[in-house]
Amino acid sequence: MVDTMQTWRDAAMATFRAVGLPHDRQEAWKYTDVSAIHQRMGADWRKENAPAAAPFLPEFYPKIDGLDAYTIIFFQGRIHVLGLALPAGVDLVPWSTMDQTTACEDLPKVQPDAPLFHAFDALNAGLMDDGVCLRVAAGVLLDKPLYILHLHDDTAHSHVRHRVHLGESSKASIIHHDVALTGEHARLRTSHYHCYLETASTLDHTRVQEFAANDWHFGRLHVEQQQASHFDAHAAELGGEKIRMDICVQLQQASAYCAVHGLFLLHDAQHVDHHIHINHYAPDCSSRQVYRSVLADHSHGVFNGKVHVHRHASGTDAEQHSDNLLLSKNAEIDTKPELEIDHDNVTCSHGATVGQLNADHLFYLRSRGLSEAMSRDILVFAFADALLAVLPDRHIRRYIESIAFNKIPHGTDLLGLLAK
Amino acid sequence: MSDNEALQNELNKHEYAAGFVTDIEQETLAPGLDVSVIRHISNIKREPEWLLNWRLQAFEHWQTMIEPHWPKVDYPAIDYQAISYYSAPKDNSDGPKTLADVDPELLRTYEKLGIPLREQEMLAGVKEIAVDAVFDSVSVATTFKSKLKKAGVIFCPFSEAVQEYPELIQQYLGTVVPASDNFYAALNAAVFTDGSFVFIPKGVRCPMELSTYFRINAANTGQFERTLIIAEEGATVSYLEGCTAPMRDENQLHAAVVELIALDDAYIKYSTVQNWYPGDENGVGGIYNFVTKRGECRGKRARISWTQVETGSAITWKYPSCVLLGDESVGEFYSVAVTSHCQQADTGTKMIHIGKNTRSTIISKGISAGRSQQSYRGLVRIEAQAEGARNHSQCDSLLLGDRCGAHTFPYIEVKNPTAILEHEASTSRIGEDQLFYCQQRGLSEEDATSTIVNGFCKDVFDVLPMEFAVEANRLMELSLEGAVG
Amino acid sequence: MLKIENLCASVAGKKILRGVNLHVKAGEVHAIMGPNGAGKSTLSNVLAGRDAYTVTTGTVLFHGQDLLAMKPEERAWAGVFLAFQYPVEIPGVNNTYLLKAALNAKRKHQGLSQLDAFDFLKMVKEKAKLVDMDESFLSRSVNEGFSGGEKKRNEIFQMAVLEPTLALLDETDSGLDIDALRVVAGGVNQFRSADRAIVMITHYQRLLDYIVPDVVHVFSDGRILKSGDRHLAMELEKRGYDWVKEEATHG
Repeated sequence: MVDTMQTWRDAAMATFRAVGLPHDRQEAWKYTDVSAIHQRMGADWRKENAPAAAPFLPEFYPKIDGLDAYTIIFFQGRIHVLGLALPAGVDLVPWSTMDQTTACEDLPKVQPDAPLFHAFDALNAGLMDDGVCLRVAAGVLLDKPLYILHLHDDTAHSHVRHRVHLGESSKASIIHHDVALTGEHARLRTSHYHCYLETASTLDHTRVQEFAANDWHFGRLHVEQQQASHFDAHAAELGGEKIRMDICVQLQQASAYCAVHGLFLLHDAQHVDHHIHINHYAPDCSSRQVYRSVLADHSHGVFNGKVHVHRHASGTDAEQHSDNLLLSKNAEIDTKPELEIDHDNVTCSHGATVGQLNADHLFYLRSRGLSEAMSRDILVFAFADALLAVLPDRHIRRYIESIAFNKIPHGTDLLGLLAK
Repeated sequence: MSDNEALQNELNKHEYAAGFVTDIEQETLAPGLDVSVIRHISNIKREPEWLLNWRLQAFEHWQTMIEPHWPKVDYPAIDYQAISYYSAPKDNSDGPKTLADVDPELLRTYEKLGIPLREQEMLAGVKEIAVDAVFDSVSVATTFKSKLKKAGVIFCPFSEAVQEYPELIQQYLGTVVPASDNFYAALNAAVFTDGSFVFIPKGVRCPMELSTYFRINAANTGQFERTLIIAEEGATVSYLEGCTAPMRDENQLHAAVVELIALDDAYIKYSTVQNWYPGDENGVGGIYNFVTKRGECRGKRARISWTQVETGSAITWKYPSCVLLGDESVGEFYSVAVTSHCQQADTGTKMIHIGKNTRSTIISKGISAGRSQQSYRGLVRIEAQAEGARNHSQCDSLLLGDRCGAHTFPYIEVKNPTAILEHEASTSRIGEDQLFYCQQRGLSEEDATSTIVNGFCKDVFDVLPMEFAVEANRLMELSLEGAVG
Repeated sequence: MLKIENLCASVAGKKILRGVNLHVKAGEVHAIMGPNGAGKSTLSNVLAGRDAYTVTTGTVLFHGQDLLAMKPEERAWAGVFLAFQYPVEIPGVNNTYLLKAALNAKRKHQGLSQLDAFDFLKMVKEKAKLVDMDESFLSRSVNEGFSGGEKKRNEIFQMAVLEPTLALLDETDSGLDIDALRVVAGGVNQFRSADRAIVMITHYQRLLDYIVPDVVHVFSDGRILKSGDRHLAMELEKRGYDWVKEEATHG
């Protein structure tokens, strides 16, 4: 008996209803309150979208100078521009162009037992607009990044669900870019990535988020890693009103490596919450979590990173870093780097800081003739830039830097000063 | 039983020296908890009406509460109706007496535990320590009371304070840990039976260390004591707490409340050596230690310091905390916790910064061995008005053996941009190269381990009161015995 | 004092020592020289009893006792001291405390009473002077935050305090500047006596100018290829190691 897409969706919605909305008495939702969703998103947020209207004009598309990539474009969660000439061994198919039986088999399953699962992931599956299934065959190295641009406006909510499968010793780099035009209506965005990395494969996943000022977003990145595979995630949280990301990495075989990086540059009343859960199931795996936040105005950052070292994961090497700068009296950071360790042969550490800029550095810059305000901005920028410096693509780095500069009072002056 | 097993059993018994039972006639309430039990306790204590009402309100509230299960500990449901809420040696129910009246069997008990109750027997040259000895539900003796009184210091059993200093009790009781604070604090407020009361008046430096020694003796009873320490402006006191219980196969509940209040420039140093019976190597028996300890720095430049060495209890659930209200007040938490066999501990601290330029330091060292599970759970909160707050936290875990667990759950909440906060944590086992280095220098593997563990705990041992340092070392060695190899 | 016969050892299944023969008499100083990766440090680690090394064949007698049957600490009690090539840092463990514990453990083993704290400290301070070590190092954690040279100096200081009969110096000269080398060598020379022996492992002839050896061995491919007096070291300095290897294969 083969499921049709509708029964697949119905099952997901049943799970959504059974699980219920998260609430602040749940540990993982202590700092992120979603109870206002009905009020903010209007009555129809649990309903499927109507077919997308025509997208906005290309002159509003983001311009990333110099970016050389395979580009595909989604509008309101549905494939809009595909038409790629991908190298042999790289297979990329939107769900909407597949037959239903295949799609139902290949779509990432709803996994209520997975770490950090919550109702919005089931909702994403139930209301999914579209998404792609990317397969890279064994040994194939994708020569350029795959740039997946998601455009949104305020005419509809949007829900995308992607699947990435890397064959043995293959290599790919994905840039996920969300851009939404701010309009009258607040909209709900959800996204889901399910990534499976076969032995010795390598995946870079960069996510640049520029949602509209009144958008809410619930995203999930679920990664399963086989032997000696290598996963790097980068996130730049720039837009949106309420953003929640759940990142779950399952290190299932020996000698796998993962690094999850996150940069929050927030202002106004933006709220960004990243929950990360890295499970070390196998020996000799390494994991890194490196987060930095710069919080202005009334913004609120939440970092909750967990490393769980299971019984057989000897030789685990795990680190977590959460460094934060508050620029305003009304900003707030809540950070919780957690370790759960059930094996003695481990080297695990974490560090968290909240603090002001280094007084010696500030003095040095001022002694060279810079104003105090500008010196601060430079140091704030340098603080954030440490995370941009490790981005795999330098054009994306420059792009985010230019946005970051615009968020800083002396930004344009700084651009001239620091441009390389 | 093979010779080997017998030997092992013998060894296990020797590990917990305080595991004996005192054979003494006791008056014990039948198990069960209802309003009449609370009235009965209040009646025995000849309490004023307001205190009885306070208890009854707490009880009413407690009945609406749910036992917390968020700590990372696992135990069968507790039947609160199967516990006796009052047990005291006979003839002691009439309130305090002089030391000469104390049952010699009780004196022998404390002698055996190494607690000096006879003032004249304190050795010359040894620093004097005043002791309040709490035996099950009552205080059986308090030493050096008159000497302390001369200095203006009040140090007496809680029930005595209710009679002698009702206005102080009424002013301060429940103001740091309200009766409704949490499940176990509410239970304690309803049924507490005794504890210690300390009052250090303005400008007084307490002339000696004060200590309370808690002993659970009777079977099937819970111990619910309450300690209240008030240090007025400029006062200083160092207080020590010790605790033991007999070895029994049944679990016993200990749900205490400690409230500390420090006014301007006052300093309270509260040290604990927790040596409750931890259960046997298979996790049978032992004390459930569910304790609420909190101090408020109410005055400017007040300072509260929690220092603890914990080897005992089957399950520990305890977060000694500081609420830093006064500007420039200071909170400190220094802890070494050792768990072995099947012990479970979920412990840590809370530092709540409210006043300006407040500072806090957390140093927590956890050592897990055997099949034990240990979690550090801590909260550092910088409120929006807490300009210039500083915190430094260091939480390290050491794992001995591959069947134990060590977990770290630090909550950091910051709402003020001038705060500077650093939190560091690490988890590892003893490095093979470190062990080998020590062995090469001639230490046996066990000595090498204990040397390295001692080094690991050094930051905390350095701030222990002298009287406790030796005890702490001895306890650590005992509780890690056999954990190596 | 030390008799090594046909010693073979491996680490993680890899053969490192391939039949070492070495006899060291009391009062002697032996220098072991040889190219990198020859197994020199393995030899010192095996003699000190490091777990990671498996002895496959061969015997080591120390004062007639089977050294290989002893635990590392027993070897130390018996009088073997290894000055590590890379001394580890042990946070929180006081340098002096470690030494006191080590010395008392040895005394206990020998049936002697524990050292009085005052006498011990006096002795330690005297020994610290020997290697020109600042007293402040005594109260610091073992090697924590020490520079490379300070660590090496600390090793020789520990040797002076523990008074072993056989000292194995594993590249104690590496990372030392010329002044530090002189100080360290001075410490070692004071330690020399008729009832003690020293085996030093080094890359450089330089050390031998300060600590004059009685015997020089060329160590390569896991065994001793050639032995001679100190002139052999000078020849090695001039000609390198290759000719010794060739001589060994062809001769």
